[in-house]
Amino acid sequence: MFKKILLLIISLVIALPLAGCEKKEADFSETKAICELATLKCYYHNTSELKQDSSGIGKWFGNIGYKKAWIEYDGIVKLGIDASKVKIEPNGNKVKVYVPNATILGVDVDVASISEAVSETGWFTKITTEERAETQKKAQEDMKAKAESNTALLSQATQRAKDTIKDYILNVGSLIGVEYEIEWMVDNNA
Amino acid sequence: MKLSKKLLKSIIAAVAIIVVVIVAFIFFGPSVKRTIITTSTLREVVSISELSTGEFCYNGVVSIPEKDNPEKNDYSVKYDSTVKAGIEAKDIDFKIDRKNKSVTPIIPEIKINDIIINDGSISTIPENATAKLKDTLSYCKEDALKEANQNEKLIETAKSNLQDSITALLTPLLKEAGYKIMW
Repeated sequence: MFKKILLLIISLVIALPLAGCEKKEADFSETKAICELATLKCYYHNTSELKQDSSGIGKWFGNIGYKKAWIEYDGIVKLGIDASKVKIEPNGNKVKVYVPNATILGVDVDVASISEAVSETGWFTKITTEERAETQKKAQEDMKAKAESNTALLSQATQRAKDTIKDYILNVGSLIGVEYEIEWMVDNNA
Repeated sequence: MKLSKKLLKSIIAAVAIIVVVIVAFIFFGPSVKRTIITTSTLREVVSISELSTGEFCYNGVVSIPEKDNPEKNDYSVKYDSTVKAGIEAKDIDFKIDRKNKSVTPIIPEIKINDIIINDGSISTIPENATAKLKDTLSYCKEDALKEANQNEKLIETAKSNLQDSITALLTPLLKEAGYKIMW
């Protein structure tokens, strides 16, 4: 009887510490939130141009018909990645990561900031109210077009997303005592 | 009750084994890592990364005065530029509230580090304005720097990008310790 009790005590004493040896798994559940934090907000101060050249006989007489005006305005362009396309595949201490390229997520022009900076016209030529309104309307499209053609800005946003996700993975790893090696995957369908 | 010798030996053996196992566990067992939040650990997490405030597009218009009469406008220039803003990561501090389990990062002032004018973007009113490109670029850079430094929206956007970067960096550590970040 006493031998049985002794055996039970020894088993418990050995088993209890081993029960605490549960291996911690990496928790990447915050990936979507991290992708949102990786969104780059880019302040833009932009100028839009209204231009009409003179034609025909007007060219010889004080540039009749010629008009040029610049308007200035402020806005914010948001650039980021689609979180649903991000893939994180841990395998031991190696992690395969796929991050899509950043795209324009939104463009927001501050209408109150729109102002006419400078204008120039030929003889007997005026910039009409409709033309001014049209130029202002173009502001949002202009800003989006400028951001979309700015490959350096899009690269900056993609790199920001990759750096943010990389740091997140490394920090998760350090919490569970794993030094992760990141392998960037390329989208073969791109 | 008189314990038998055999029982006494068994009890002593059991106690000895328990003590050995406990001591072995303390010295050789798995180290239970408690996540401790201190200013230095937070600074260490933040300093490993290149904190990004972003680069901004300042496409502006500047009036160039006449050389002989500075109060009169000679011509106007429209230009595109890139504004780089940033901070020194080592200057970030943290306020830790252990009672409420929160961390408040304290960010230093965001500064404009550099302005790059896109030479190819220059256009003028009047169109036939002639001027040395070097002088024109100098006026454009001065204008962009002045406007960027005074522009609250630009600084606020840079601050917002920085806050997001810091939050992303600290999320795993703070989540593990049960802390939240407060701005």
